[in-house]
Order: sequence, then C-alpha cells, then structure tokens
Amino acid sequence: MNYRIKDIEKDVKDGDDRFLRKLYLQSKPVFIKWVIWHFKCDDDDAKDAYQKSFSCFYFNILNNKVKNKDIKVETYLLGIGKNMIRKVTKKASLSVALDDVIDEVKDDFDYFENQNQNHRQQQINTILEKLGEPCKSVLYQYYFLNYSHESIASRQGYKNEAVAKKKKFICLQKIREMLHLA
Amino acid sequence: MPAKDQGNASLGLINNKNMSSEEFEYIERFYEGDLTPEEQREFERIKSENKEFASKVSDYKQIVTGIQNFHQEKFLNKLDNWDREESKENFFNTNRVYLRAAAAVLLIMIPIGIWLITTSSPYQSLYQKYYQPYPDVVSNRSLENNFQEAMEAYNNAQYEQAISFLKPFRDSNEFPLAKIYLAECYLNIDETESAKSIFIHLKKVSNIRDLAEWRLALINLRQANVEATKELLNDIVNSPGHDYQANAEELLAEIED
Repeated sequence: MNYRIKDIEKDVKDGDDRFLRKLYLQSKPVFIKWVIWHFKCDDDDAKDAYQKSFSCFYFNILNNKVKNKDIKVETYLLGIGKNMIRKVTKKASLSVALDDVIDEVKDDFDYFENQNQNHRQQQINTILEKLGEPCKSVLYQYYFLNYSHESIASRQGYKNEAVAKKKKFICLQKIREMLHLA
Repeated sequence: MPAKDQGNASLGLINNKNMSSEEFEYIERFYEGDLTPEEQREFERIKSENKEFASKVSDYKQIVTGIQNFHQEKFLNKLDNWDREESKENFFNTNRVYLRAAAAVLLIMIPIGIWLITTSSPYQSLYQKYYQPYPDVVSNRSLENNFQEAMEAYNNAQYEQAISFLKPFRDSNEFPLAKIYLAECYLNIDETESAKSIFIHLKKVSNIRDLAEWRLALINLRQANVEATKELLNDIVNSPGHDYQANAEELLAEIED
C-alpha cells in the first residue's frame, strides 16, 4: 500500500466507510510488525497502539492538521505510532533511532488526553444517544467530520447554508436544555 | 457584525438564562477564530464581567467537546468491529479448506449412510467390517507417468478420476502396484466385476497374491456368494504364513455363526 495522504484525503473526508475500513485493515500488518520489532512490545499493545494511531490519523485528516500531504499514509501512521506505543506501554524511557520516521506529527496525537469520562460527558453521551434526526447528523457532520454549513445543507437537503447553521444552533440549544434538566 | 454591536447584542441576551442561536454563533465564532482581535477582546471582557455569559461559554465548550468525544469513542468502537470482522474472516479463510472438506464428507456420507441402512444385507455388513482400503504405500511416484495424480485422486476418494490415470497400467506387467489401486477404485465405485478380474490376474504376482486372495474372498462375500467365500477363506486359513490368515479365520467364524 503506497497511498500518499493527498491520494486518500477526499475519500476519508467524504466518510467512505468501505474505503476507510480497507485502509485500516491494509495498513495494520506493517504497523504491528514494525512496532513489535522496534519496541519489543506484545501483540496486544501493538494492536492498541495501531488503533489509537489510526484514529489520530483519521482525526487529523478531518481537522486539516496534516501539513505535509505528500508523505505516505504508512509513514504518517508510524510517525504517530512511535509516540503512541510509549503511551500504550507506559515505557517513557523507550527510545529508538528512527531516522526514517517523521517527527512532525509528534503533537498531533493528543486526542485521547481529554477523554476522561466525567459525569458531564456521560450526560452528553446519554443525550446524544437519544437525539433524533436531523440533530444527530448535523452535529456529527459539523463538529466531528468538520463539514462546512454549505456541505451539510447539500447533504441534508436544506435550502442553503444559513438553514444548516440555524438547525445546528437549535440542536445545541436542545442539548443545553436537556443538560440543565438532567 | 461590528464588535461593539455584537457585544451589545450579547449583553442584551446574557441576562437571560436561555441561550439564543445568536449567542451560540457569537461564542462559536470566538472559538473558531472568526472574531477580529478587537472583537476577541470585547468577548473576553464580557465573559469576565458577566458570570451568566461565562457559564454559557462554558456550556458551549462542554457540549462541543462532548460531541467530539462521543464520536471519537464511536469511531474507536467502529475500529473494534472491523478488527473483529477481520478475525472472523481470517478464521473462515484459514479453515475454508477444512470446512469444505467436512461439507464434502457429509455430502458423501449421508447418501452412503442412507443406502447402507436401506440395503445392507448381513454379508454386506460383514464386507464393510472387513474391507479396509489399501493404504497409499507408494514412496516414489515420479517414476511413473500420471501416478502421482492418480494417488492424489485416490487419497482424496476421487476414484473415477484416479481410474482415468490408472487405467493405462491395467494391461502392463511392469507396475502391479498400480493395478491394486485401480482394483480398489473399482471396488469403491461398485464396479465389482472389474475389480474381481484384476485381483484374479494379481493372484499370479507372488508378492501380491495374499492380498488378491483376501480381496477375492471379500468380493464374493459382497456378492453373497457364500459358498465361494467360505472356500476362498478356507484356502487362506490353510496357507501357513498367509498375510490374511487371522482375518480369514475370524471372518469364517462369523459367517458360520
């Protein structure tokens, strides 16, 4: 697999799950083998690191955080992976000479830092699970997939982007009210 | 909207505990970096001076972060599912050959089982009990054309295919082992007479004679030729050192019971 970021960016952003699944499963063996080889970790830690690294890669694409789009997906994943494996194995002292692996993604894997499942987050989760359409889709597309209001309007069949924006704020209001009632 | 107007608009709303779309938009513009430096300063000023507004900013931040965390978690679950699906696919692919073989065995065994239940005679049952397919004892297959393919087919119970490879050996005097497997194939597809004629021929080959005599006894048993079977078995029993002497004695005793 020799995709460069620029080759896959559109498919990933379009939310093409079949493509993403293929990319995820195809990139896995090389990553796992590489991590186990360099860090002497076990299979479970390598798989955990891969899952988290792939998630970061995906979130970074969605959030336009990838600066160099000419690098290969595999290289980018390994760049995240060499930092992630330290977190997963909690072996901060691990060091390895990896000149072939990029460093520019070292600050881009902080997604899992803020995922403390506090009480408020649990309340929001419960509300989101119950939330009906179109709120579910509109909020998902705007806040997770980073789609523009224009793109959401087109996907949801709204007249224009102002309608999409209005819907989005109504949905936020709804969540806020439910939170205050909870 | 100019900073001052925006600020005033917000100030007009922040005293209300309800949060309007305009307030959401104002806060969102701040977090998305869409306010001018002057507007940002105004935003910070209002936030620091008005607890109600500060609380709304906090709510907005918590809700948006909450939505992102929720979907990140969902995405991780999706990856888990893909991993599980892949494991299942790998299991199926790895074991596909065995599963197919098991299915093939079932397909073969079910009709055979039904046939045996419905048609078995006591002699047929005895034949089934004493007949053991001749094992693959050939070590060097490369010497003979088609023999490797024949033995692969034989070992996979593809007897008709094996016969097509083995037939050329039937009339040759050079490779009697091939004739044994050919006769065995005929027995397995119920072409008993074809098998019988080969074993009659093989009785003349010294190192195969014992097997041929035993097979001929079994073939007669299968055909319910009881007297001929007894005669052949007695011959074996009375041949010192015959490879099948013990089997013949046992079978003879069972027939006479």
